[in-house]
Amino acid sequence: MDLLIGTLGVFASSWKQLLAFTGEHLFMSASAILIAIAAGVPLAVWMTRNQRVAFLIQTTINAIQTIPTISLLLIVMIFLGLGYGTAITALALYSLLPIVQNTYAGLENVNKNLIEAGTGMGMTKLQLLTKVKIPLAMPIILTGIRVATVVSIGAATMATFVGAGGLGEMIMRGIVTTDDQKVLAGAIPAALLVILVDLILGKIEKRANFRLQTAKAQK
Amino acid sequence: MSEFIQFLTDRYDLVLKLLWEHSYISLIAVAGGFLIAVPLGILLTRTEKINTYVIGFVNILQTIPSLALLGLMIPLLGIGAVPAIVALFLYSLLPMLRNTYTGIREVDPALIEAARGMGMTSFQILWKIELPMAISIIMGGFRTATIYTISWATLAAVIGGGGLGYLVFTGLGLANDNMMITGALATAMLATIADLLTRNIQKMCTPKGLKIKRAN
Amino acid sequence: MIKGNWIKALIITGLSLLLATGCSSGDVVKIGHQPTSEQTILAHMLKQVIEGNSDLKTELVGGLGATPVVLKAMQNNDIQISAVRYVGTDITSSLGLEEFSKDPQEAFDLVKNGVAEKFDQLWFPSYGFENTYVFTVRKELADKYNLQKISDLAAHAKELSLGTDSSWLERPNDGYQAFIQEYGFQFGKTTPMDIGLVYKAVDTKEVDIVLAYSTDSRLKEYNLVTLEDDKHFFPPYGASPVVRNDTLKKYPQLEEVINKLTGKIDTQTMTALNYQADIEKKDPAAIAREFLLEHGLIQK
Repeated sequence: MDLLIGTLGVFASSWKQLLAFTGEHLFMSASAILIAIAAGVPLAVWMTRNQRVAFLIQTTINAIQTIPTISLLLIVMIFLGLGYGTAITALALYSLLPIVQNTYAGLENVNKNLIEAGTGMGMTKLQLLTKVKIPLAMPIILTGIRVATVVSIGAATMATFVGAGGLGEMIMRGIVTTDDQKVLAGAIPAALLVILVDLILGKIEKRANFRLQTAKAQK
Repeated sequence: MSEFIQFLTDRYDLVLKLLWEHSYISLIAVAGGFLIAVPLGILLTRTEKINTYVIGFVNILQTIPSLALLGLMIPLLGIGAVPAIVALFLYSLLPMLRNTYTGIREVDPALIEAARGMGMTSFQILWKIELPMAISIIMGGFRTATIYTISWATLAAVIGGGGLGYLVFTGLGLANDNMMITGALATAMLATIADLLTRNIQKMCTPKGLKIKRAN
Repeated sequence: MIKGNWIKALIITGLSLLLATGCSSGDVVKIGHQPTSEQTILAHMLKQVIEGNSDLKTELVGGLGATPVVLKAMQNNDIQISAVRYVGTDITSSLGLEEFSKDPQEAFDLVKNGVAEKFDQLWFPSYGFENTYVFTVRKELADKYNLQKISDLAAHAKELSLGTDSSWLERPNDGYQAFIQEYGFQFGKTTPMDIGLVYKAVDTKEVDIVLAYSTDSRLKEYNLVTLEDDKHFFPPYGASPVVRNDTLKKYPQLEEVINKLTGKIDTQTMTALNYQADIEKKDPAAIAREFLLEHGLIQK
């Protein structure tokens, strides 16, 4: 109870700073996710074309995933220095896994009969991909994106390690001083952010489902 | 390079011990996560009403910073491997829960209707239609969770649970690159092995019918 | 609907990018620090003392993850000043030396020369306090076994468990192996972990002894008794600001201004300042300001 009151106290006294941190946090995780989608989906498409490439990409992404946070940040810092750039790059690299994994699984899982039907209709490879495979795999891809988004908002606390701010700055201040109120004051906005962003993505997913239903109805 | 090999030969017993700790901590966490997340994901497809709350809760778990989560656990679970396993278990839930839920929900409704028409019970439909059709999506979530858990398991070292994180954090504190690289490489190796294993499990789980279809 | 969302997201992203790039220009000296209260307070002191005694503008870059991150940022010229660096930490991490003197002056000269040669940075004279390892035990244990100095632990060490930060067990010069040789006893159990969590663990009696840092205010908060290092095993390492030499050349007034803080803060004072931040939850900037005003280092 004291903890809650104390946390409310932190909110009251430093809400402006917290708001700024939340903005930075959202900006960094959103940029990272957009980059990860832009890179991850094409990679996964490539993986469906070639078994060996699939193995190679998967292993590389797994390996990137296992690089410890500080080491990855130190490596990226060589090129991008302190600040948002380094934080966003590292976050994007860490968010690739669920996006690639789900896009790949989703595309592979598309009913082969439908693809054959498409081929029979004279569709080109690209048409098959954009008109049959991706729309059908969309719910699975979006699920991957939603997992990646949540993970990325959670992981964005590391941005503070390279001076990029975000809610991690408040959380780390709390952690290094064993001050749970500060930790909560940083963690609660992060959790709210996750809920909010996930709601928005849920809305988008409903639209995608709508398209899927039409696709199903049309087939 | 020679320094690195020197480090490995000097400390191989330590590295092996940490590798073992890392393996069992991740394995128990992810296996526990699987046992909870998959049935829960299936349940959520049956009771759409609670799904927002359950997934929301699991989402929030994911945003709790690991040091804070571990700090909360000390009064309950003490220090060592146990709190680390519990924390990793909680973190592993999200990808498996989400993929199970989506995978089952996206099974073609026509197939389910056909099965129902054939007089299958809902359990039979789940076991013979929905799970086999969704298995590769579910296993995709399992693979994501496994890789994430192995990479996140470095957190065990911050609560005295050992594992390869010990090499990473100690290496960082001493700026000992050999230590850090050993920690990172060993984690990557574990992840690769786990990925190969889970890939085979995924293949074994894929129903014959679907496999033959693929061969066409 | 979907399109609307994307456009909104893009606009937000674009605006934030503008904001991000907008504030990083101009003639500003950047001071980097790690997220501990100690480093934050000292960074604020540097900022205020520089801005109050010269026409330079400064900016704080806080929360940096670890000593290697601070060092790399200094080399990249992302920051020009490290608010605090500790002699012992830098000798092992930045300079990569394993064996070195425990004499404070010799160690100071070693790091000062090393950092100047290797990184072209100036290691200032110490603020006046040292941050070193200290053995601390729970109050009731200290009373029960009448513990006052580290040697007193010898008789009971077998039944006691020690919590340390994650690197001490492996430290070559003043780590566990060297400790065993010097003091001639081992602990029943050693648990390396995050230092913040060690305090929580001692609170729930998971560990009995904490290898803590000497200026940490939590020693008081968690009722820990410091044991005297009767064999002088731990070297007393000073804490200093470090600045890039080219920055000092560009702004010649900087060196004198920073030196106003030299020798002004002893270990007790630093612990007290940390206590104000950690336990009394005072704002680090306000703590810094109060201290500087009290010592006439800035004008109102």
